[in-house]
Parts: sequence; structure tokens; C-alpha cells
Amino acid sequence: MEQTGILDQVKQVVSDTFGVSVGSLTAETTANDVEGWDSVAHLIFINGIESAFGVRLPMQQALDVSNLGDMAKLVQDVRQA
Amino acid sequence: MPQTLQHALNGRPQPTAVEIFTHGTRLLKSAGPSDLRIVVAGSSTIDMVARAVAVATALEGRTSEIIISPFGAWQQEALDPMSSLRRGGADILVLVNDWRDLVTPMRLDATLDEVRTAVAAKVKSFRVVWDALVTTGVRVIQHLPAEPLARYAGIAERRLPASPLSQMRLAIDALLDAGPEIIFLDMAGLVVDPRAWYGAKLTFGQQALPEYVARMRGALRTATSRAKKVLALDLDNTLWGGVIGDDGVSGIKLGPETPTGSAFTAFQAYVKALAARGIILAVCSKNEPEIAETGLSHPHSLLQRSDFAAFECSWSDKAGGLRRIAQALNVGIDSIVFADDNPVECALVREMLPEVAVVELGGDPAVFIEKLDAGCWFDSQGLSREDFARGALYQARAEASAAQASSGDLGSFLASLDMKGVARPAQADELARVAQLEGKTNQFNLTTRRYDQAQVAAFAERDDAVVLVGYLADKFGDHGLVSTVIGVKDGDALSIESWLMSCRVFSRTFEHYVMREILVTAGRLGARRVVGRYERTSKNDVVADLYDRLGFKRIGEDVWERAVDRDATDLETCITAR
Repeated sequence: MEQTGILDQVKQVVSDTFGVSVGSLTAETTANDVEGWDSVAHLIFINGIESAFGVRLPMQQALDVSNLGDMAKLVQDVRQA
Repeated sequence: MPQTLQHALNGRPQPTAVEIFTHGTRLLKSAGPSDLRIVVAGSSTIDMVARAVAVATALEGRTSEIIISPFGAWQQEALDPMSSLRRGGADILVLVNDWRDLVTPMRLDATLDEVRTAVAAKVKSFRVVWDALVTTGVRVIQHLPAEPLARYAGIAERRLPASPLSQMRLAIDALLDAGPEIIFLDMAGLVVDPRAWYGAKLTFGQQALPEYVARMRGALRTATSRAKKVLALDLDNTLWGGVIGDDGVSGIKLGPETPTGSAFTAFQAYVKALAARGIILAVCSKNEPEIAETGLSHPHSLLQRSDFAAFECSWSDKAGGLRRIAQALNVGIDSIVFADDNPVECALVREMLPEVAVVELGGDPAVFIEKLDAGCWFDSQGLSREDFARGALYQARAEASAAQASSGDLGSFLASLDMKGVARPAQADELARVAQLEGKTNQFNLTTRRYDQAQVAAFAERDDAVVLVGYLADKFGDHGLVSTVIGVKDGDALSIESWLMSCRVFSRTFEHYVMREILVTAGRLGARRVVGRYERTSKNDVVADLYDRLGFKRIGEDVWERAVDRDATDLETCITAR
């Protein structure tokens, strides 16, 4: 899958989890930009990504992603590994 | 706003982890009057648990105010007179602990006595917390921690008293002994995700949240004395495979000869085991009562008629049946769990009786036990002599039950099904299916002629006769070809020689829909009236008064007629053309 396709799906997970519109999200969106996205919510987000893509993300890298584009890249890296 | 969540689920048994997170977050923020004040405290992060408690409370139809104690402060919260719990009071305290609170680091070669002493000290630290709360009247829901997962040396761990595994076994038994008034929530078997612990000090993985919510709901029902008492079951394709009214007692699938029969037998054994634990059994089925009972006389039926304290078989809707069951057993309608394979019946009950717990069993009997078990509906903290004797008690009481007709708003329910119908002359490739239905339909069968395929084909070829087929679909799925009509022109009349319908779709105004098509067809063939007959068999009582209900006039014994040019608006139907 193209990285833009992955990013679209990442946006969808964020939208489902935090109730924000997909249109308001970009590759540069960070947790600080989304209301309710705290450390507990981040684990829910990681689980949502894992079930959406059928992958298992390494813990520290998944905790460290700084924006949605980084998450899309991490998903792509894990898939190619 | 509990209703919002119930509607979001729309029949799914559990919310997803994301839904628990989002709805839980919303519920924690929403202020307003609440039924229950619940404090959540623990040795680990409880933000997620608090959300799950909020969702569980809402799904139980209660509003709650949830207070989250500071991280790790479970002992202080209970013991400090100035804590939010002690000062503000609470109805329920949820204590979140895990195995790390029960296992003592010690020499691996410690003796059993040394281990017992260490375990007793740990259990005492719990008992001190519970004791501090006894006088406040709060009900304690205590997580009963799961054993740690690491294998280390395998079986040797079980033989070694000081191993974490052995310490936990001893500690769990000692906790259960020490807290007879405590409500324990069993954490065993919930998915453990190490990242949840390292990343957020959560004792179980978020994947396990749906299962956790089901268990928490069970604990909350105990804490608020709202236990489920009754299991109301459908019969056909729930307690056996097939339709007793059509297949007969020798035709239903039950017993070890087939995989399907084995699965239904295992489900019956599970149900019987619930009854042995004090759960009252009831039948809620669309059937003729006498015919329905014959299914329970099947040689492989583990359940007997006498196992059921209430036996509600009728052709009226099941919400009415469940109301009558509650009345006959003298229990609240909210103490009933209703299990049925049919999604339409389940949807009707959810819609009309939201306080009834509905278990949609679906089409695969191999997973019925799993589906019923997963709701934790009958979770209990201990069984008493009364529980063991309850079955016999209710059987006696049921003798006095008097059924009473009752009606909910059936019309709006039927409208909500979004039913789409087709009724038209049969095509050549449909005649085999028509003959098949002729051969096996017993209940909605006006004349029980049993025409075979050659006979059906002969009718279809005649210019003065017609074979009609009816299809029905609703928002739950396509029921396929569910009704057939064979009519023959006889003078100025179209005579209905045969009319069949699957009982699955009976009482959903499809009979009106098909009758409208019969009237149109009669007009097309030049008939001025439609004539129908009812020929009684041992199984077709359900349609004895069908023509009366369809606005026909009786013109002889078991013969009715209706004028073709009469306005058909009395044949109201909730079905639109596909």
C-alpha cells in the first residue's frame, strides 16, 4: 500500500478513537492537537492501528511517534520488515 | 446517557475497546445527577479501568459518578479518614490490584510454611483495607488478580511453594476465604499485554476491555442486588436443530449422531447445569404448545418439560411472551436473560423490552455456549442451599401461572424492519423449491395437499391456473422464497388450492402482502372473487382463522370468499415492493 493510503487509514483510526473529522487531520497532526489524546489514549490508538493493519508495532517506537505521518511510516516499515 | 451507548451497540453483545474508551471518556466528563457514586482505586493506573466501569454502569442502565483515586493510593484511600472516599462516601469501591500485590519476593527454596506466612501477611493487608470500609456501607468490588504468565521452569513452578505461581494459588484461595462479603472480579484469562504494563501500568491489555466490561457488569449487578434469575429460551434451532412443527420429533437434530446434534446436546447440558445452580428456566417460543413439548420428549433431549418453570408457546410476539413469563414467575422483567437464534426476535425484544438481556445465538450451535457464557449473566459470588433447591420450587409455583394477552407497539417494530417483498408468478426454475415447500411445510399450510414437482409444473402451465411465489427480505437479511400459492380458476372464482408460508415470517403482515397479489392475479384471470379453504390437520391450527383475519366472508364449513373488486386497504402491510 502507498504511504498516503496508510496515512488515510491512520487518520480514520484517529477519527474513530477521538471523534474528530478525518478532514481536520494531516500528516503533521500530533497528540497535542487532538483533545483527549493522553498517554492512556495513546495505547488505545496503538491497538487501533494494530488491528486496522494486522501488524504488531515495537513498543518504544509506537510510543515515540510524534505525528500521524510518523505512524504511517512506522506501519510501512513494520510491514516491509 | 446510557441509551446512547445501548443504541450505538445496536445488538452487538459488547462494545469494542475503542467504544469503551470513547464512551467512557464522555461518561467520565458528563456531570449530572447519578444513581451510584463509585470510587476506583488501585495499585496501578486506573484511568482505563475507570472508563470501563463507567461504560459497564451505563450498560446496566444506571448513571454513575466515578471518582478516580490518585495513582497507587488504594490503601491510603481506604485508611485515611480524610480521603475522597472516606469523606465523600461511596456506594461502590472498585479495588484494582494485580499479582504484584500478592507475591512476596523470597528465597526460591523457602518452605511451604514460610510461604504460607508470607501469603497470610499479604492477605491481611487486604483485609485491613476492607475492614476500614465495612462501617461506611460501601460495597467493595475487588479485582482477583490473575496468575503471572511467565513459565520459568514449567511444572517445577507448581511443585515449588515459593514460586510466583504457587504463591498466587495460595493467595487467591486465602483472599476468597478472608472476604465472604467482598465481591470479587476474576481477572483470570483476560489478555495480558506487557506494553500496557510498561507503557501505562495497566494490568491487562486494552484488547481485553470488552470482556472486562462484561465481568464488571456482573459484579455491579451483585453489588446492586440486580442479579439475573431467569433464562428464557427459544426452542426451534436453539435447543435443537430444525423446526419441530415441520420436521417432527424424529426429524429434529439432537444427539451424538451428527456434529450439529452433538452441539445442541452440549448446549442443553450447559442450560441444565445453569438450572442446577438455581437459574430458573423458561421457554419463549412461537409454536403450538403441544407440538413444542414433543421436542423435549426426544430420546436425546437432556431437558424435560418439567425443567421449565414457565412454558410460553404462542404465535403472539415474544415481548408479550416474556412479560407473561415474568408475571407467572413473579420476577422483575429485568431479571430475565433471553436467548434466541433468530436476529429478528432478538431485535424485537431489545426494542420493546430494553431491560431484558438478549443473547443472540445466531446460526452455529457450536458457539452457543460461548455466546451465552461471555455475557457473565449468571455470575454469582457463592451458591446457597436455596439456589440448589430453586428449580423444584419454581416448577411447583408455575402450575398456578395464568397467561394473559399483552401487546407492545408491534406496528412500529414491524415498520422498523424495513421489509421488502416480492410476490409474482413462479418461473420454471422455482418450481422445484415450491414442491419442496409443499412437501415439508406443516404449520402455515391451509390445505396440506403435498403437490409434487410434476403437479406443481402442471398448474404452472395451465392458462386458468397460477403458481405464485413470495420472497421477503428485511434489514437483517434475505429470507428467500418463503411463501407459495397455487390458485385455479373455477367459474367466476379463483380458488386457492394451496397456500404455504414459512413460520419464520408469519405475523409480519407478509400474509397481507401475498393476499393483495392473489387478488390482483384473480382480477387478471377474470375472476370476480377469491375462494379459500382450510383443511385441518394436527399441525396447522395456526391458520384456522386466517381467512377471517384477511377480511374473507365465511360461505360454508371451512370455505371463505372475498370479492376481487373490494377495496384492499384493510390488508395493511409493512412490506414494500422490492
